[in-house]
Amino acid sequence: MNKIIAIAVLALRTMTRSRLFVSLMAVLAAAVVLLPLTVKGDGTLAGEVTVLLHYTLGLAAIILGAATLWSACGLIAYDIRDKQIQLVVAKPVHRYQIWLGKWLGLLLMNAILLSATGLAVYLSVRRGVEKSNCSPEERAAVYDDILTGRRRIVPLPESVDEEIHRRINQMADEGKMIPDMPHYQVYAEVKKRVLAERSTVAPGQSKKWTFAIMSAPRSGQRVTLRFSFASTFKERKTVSGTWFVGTEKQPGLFSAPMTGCLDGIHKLVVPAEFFSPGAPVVVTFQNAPRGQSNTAIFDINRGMEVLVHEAGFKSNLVRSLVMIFCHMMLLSALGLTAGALFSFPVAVFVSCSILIMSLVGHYFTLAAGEPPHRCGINHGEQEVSALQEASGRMVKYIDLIIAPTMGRNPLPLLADGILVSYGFMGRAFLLLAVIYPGVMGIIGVYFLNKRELAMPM
Amino acid sequence: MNNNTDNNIAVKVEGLTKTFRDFWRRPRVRAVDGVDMQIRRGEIFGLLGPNGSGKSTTIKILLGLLHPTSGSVTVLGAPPSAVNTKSNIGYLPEESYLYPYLTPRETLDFFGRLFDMKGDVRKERTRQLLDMVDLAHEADRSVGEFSKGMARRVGLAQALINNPRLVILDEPTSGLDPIGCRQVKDLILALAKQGKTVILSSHLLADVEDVCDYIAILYKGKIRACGKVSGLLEERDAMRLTLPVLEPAKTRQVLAAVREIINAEPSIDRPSKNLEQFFIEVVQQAHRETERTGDVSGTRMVAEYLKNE
Repeated sequence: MNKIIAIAVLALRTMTRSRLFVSLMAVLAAAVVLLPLTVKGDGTLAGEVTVLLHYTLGLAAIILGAATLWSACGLIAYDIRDKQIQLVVAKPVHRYQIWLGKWLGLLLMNAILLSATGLAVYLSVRRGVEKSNCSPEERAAVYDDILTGRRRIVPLPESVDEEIHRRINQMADEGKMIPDMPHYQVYAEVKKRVLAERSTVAPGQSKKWTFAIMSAPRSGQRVTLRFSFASTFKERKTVSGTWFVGTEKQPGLFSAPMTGCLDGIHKLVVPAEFFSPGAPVVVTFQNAPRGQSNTAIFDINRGMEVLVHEAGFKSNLVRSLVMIFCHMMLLSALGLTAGALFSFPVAVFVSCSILIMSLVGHYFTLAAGEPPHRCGINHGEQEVSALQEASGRMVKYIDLIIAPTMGRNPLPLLADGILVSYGFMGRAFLLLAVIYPGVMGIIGVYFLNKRELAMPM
Repeated sequence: MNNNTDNNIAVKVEGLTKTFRDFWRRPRVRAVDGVDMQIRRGEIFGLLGPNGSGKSTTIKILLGLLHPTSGSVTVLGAPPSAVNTKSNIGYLPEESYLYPYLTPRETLDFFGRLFDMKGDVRKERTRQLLDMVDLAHEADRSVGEFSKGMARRVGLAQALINNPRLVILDEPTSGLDPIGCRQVKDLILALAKQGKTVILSSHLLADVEDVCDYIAILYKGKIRACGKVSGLLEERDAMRLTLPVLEPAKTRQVLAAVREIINAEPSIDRPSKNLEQFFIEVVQQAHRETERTGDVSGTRMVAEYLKNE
């Protein structure tokens, strides 16, 4: 361990005594200090805080990620090019210790810079909120909705499969199928339509959402219903109605009226005791009769959620920083392994190519969607060339490897006051800091062991 | 270089060949070609040869930095890839290859850590080595600011931080001033006296002649001559008699007597100091007069811990 620490400290010295580090500090400082001064959000305090949290931290993470990848590619590659590695390898040091030491050094640098960035952002947020000229209500809303960590409970998914099959079969019977349209696209389109219909609540109608509560909110914990809807499209009209919270048998244990609400995101505070585990909790919106209200179209994905205040902003920020740090661990491993295999410019090119290919591959896979079962309908075989087939498979295989690392960005949650849970953080740590870097480390060390480190240039 | 039991052999090389290949794996150059040699423990062994003769490549194979194309190599009884064996090896490469942003103190501390040395041992050895290479007063300046000779001295110090049993020095006097060269050679002799094996690679013939017991001369990757230095250089058909300076009459008498014995004309000349010795005397005199410690001084003494074998 002594040797690994020695190499880690050396790597840290290499980075801190380079111009890159000084430049990086300057750019990070600019990102943390200048960005909030130039971007004002939507003019509200909440908008300002959201920008600060989402974009400032996001920009800092991007800058840090690029610098980490750059440094990681150079740490071993430059040692080989400048031949210092010959002195190190001539000592009783295993090559895995070199890789691990350099990795640890990179992590130390990231830990220092991320902590400094996190602290700066935290102080800016606190200062911004305290010094703002906004009303006490607006300030309180920022504390309640953003500077907090709320567990999000989403409704149980509605069963729509049966309805989709029925409609597709009906379309097929009526000869309304679009020729050459792949069956999974038909399925996706019909599903979208069914969900949109189910999210639409006309005057006099009602809609209900069912929640499975795994752990009861503690007494005094703030529980909020947050819902988002649009009213009729052509002109903004208000929606009125009543919200009910209860169980399947007693849906009206708690009720609250909603009067003259314009479309957008709204919240309703509900006493914690109505959310107890056991029987599913049912939330119902009863739209007022025509004349008193208009049609409400709830957002398909974020139309309704229950938010339970669980943690403070500080711990949420720390967990978010830990998750960003996990991403840096992955990038460090990628760069180091590339640097162990190739010269510096080639290592940078290869690392960037891998990142870009992964992101693009993942995007295409998401865009294409996963074909569901064929619903018993034969739409005819699609003409697919061998090249298309091969590239499709390749993208799919790449995505199989990449997908687990995606969707682990904590910043949208942090900026929305949503809890970055220990479970979310733990899974990210396991994947981004242990499994993926571990595999990359094994590859890097294998090639470093095979490589002749004193080849004439 | 003679037949010995394996216990007494520090380095054994048999049929060593190294061919460098290009990107397409096509053979480009054969740097070492069927080299056989044995180096006994406690011996100072010189690898001589012009640039590109394969000296450094052979050394890098001994250290596991390059892999042989064919042949076998054993260093202190183990293959070059054995990491633990390296605890007993000190290596000074042909250039110093130090981290330019580290100071000499940090450099020695770093390499000491790679030998798992305890903090107090590292500190003490660093102090002694910096004294030995006369860099104690520059211990906290970045190595990147050093002249080649000063960096060479740091390189030499790092090669000895672990008190090695086998010291491999590739062009150790390169970049050093004459006093530095002399003192490095004295150091090599002192190390051998402690029972350490020294492999010295150089194309400076005087350096090798001054310190080596055995030499191998390489040319284009092959050993062209190998053996004990005194044996290789000895002129077997002539001898030299050294006398104090005599008066001319007595000189004539001695010459006449010798002429009568050998039945040939003997030659007579005055022995001269070599330039290195003369230079050192002049500088040491100047040093004593000015009491300066400075530019031209080199290694001063052998570090205490290196004497305690």
